[in-house]
Amino acid sequence: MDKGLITGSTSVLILKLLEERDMYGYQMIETLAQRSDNTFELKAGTLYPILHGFEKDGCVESYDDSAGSGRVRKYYRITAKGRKALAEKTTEWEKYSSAVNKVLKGGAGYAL
Amino acid sequence: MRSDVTKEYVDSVCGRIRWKKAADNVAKELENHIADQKNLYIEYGLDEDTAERKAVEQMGDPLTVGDELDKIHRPEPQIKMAVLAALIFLSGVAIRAVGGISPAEMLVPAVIAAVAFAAAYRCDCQIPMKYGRYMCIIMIAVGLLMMAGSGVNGFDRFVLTEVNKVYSIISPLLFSCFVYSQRGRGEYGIICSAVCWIALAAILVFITSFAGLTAIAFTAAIEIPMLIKKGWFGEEKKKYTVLVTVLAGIAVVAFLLYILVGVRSGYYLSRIKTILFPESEAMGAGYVTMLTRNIVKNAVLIGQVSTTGSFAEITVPSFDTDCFLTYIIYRFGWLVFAVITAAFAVFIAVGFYKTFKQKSVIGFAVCFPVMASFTVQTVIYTMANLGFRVFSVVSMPLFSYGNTALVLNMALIGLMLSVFRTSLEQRDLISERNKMVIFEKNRMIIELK
Repeated sequence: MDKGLITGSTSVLILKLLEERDMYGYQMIETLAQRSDNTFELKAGTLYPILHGFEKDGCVESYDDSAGSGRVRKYYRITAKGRKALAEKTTEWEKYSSAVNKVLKGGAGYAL
Repeated sequence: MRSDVTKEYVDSVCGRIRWKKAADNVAKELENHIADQKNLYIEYGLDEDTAERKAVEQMGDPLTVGDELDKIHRPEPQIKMAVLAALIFLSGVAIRAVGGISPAEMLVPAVIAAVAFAAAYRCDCQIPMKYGRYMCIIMIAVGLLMMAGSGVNGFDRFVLTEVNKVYSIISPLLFSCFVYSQRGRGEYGIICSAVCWIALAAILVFITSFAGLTAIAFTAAIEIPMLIKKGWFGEEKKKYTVLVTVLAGIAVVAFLLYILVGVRSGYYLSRIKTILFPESEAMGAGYVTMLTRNIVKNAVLIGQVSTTGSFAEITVPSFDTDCFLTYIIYRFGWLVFAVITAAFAVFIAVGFYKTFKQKSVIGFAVCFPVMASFTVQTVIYTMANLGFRVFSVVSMPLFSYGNTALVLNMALIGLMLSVFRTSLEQRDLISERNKMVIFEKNRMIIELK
């Protein structure tokens, strides 16, 4: 799979996961891998800069919650601004993938 | 406890993050992630060391990760608010210079205030919140001793004036620190907070600082319901709301009874009469109010009030301390007054806006009482200088003359701006207690470690 495709869609996938429910970082990576049949195997080093960037921009907010055994986990939840950003990115993706599909299905003749 | 493999990885990442507070938060998150991944590998059948090594490998190159996180985690300098505070202060110095008070007189207190501001601005707000309740208890003890000792040796007027300023300005923050420490304590925490409030209120009434009393009442009225809503004391929010409402009602009734029929009711009733009808004490307690109202009535847009007739050779009493705004209206006109009050209005508006944007309770608990104190001082001072002298003024923060008030207000503003600067990294730690026995929702939870 072309890594460029994955990179571009990672942020919208993260927001989509958080739209469903609050999650912590490791949970997002596991959920993403399960849902995509291991197509998306996100490294933590890729995830956390994106998450922290979202938090700085106000698209997500974090809170601490007990993880048992005295540990504290940092959970993330999407904000109204994040939902709006997700909707915009989803629309962009749908336009993009629709355009690609049209070209692929139509062949060279269709593109002309 | 971190093992060497995890520690080495996390230290490599966090070593690239220049902001230490952010680095500490990132470290905890990465350690948790590695622990979760390691546990999964152990479930798959790997031994602990191999599981941990594989978990760390999955994290990605530590230097690249660290550099990416460093780009994101930067404090947000509060330059605009700091500059506005400085401009307010300098304009006060300039206007006093026109009035004949040399700026050199303000040099030492200004330097002390600047040092206090700088120290507070760089301070981690976790520190005052962690030890604030002890400071609150000490200040309450000192205040109660002061109340008990009054009339034995008498009090020097200067000392009482300075004590008045200290308690007036910092009581809201002390109260907030105490309330913050009552996390998860349910009704017990609320009752302890109420006792703290009553003790501070009693001290403020004793030193006749009704401005301070207004500030801690304002702080409690906003902060306590907000903390209940956030579940700070526990989950039984309706019960806590009813309890707080009952306690507040009792406090209001007790206060009214003390004012109207208490041992000093004669004094308070005559003060109320002077506030409502200053003309009845025009040559006594109402003199300054009547003078102020006359100045305000005759003030012009730009320039000095005409010095003919009844205003010949007028001097505004305490023009650089309690009546500084009245002096400005008298000497320079409404336009200058409007510009100055607009500066204060902007500072207050931005301060409250940023305070209510705080995501963490600790951020709110530091900033709100600072803004409450600042706002109450400003409003009471402005009202008094427009001829509505309800309470004795403390100061016009940063603006009117007063070394103690200047240093305290600058320190508090520095602390508040420190919170704004680091708001993204503020955390309300939830599990720092190492208690084996925890009381929650009428259950006793024993956690053996």
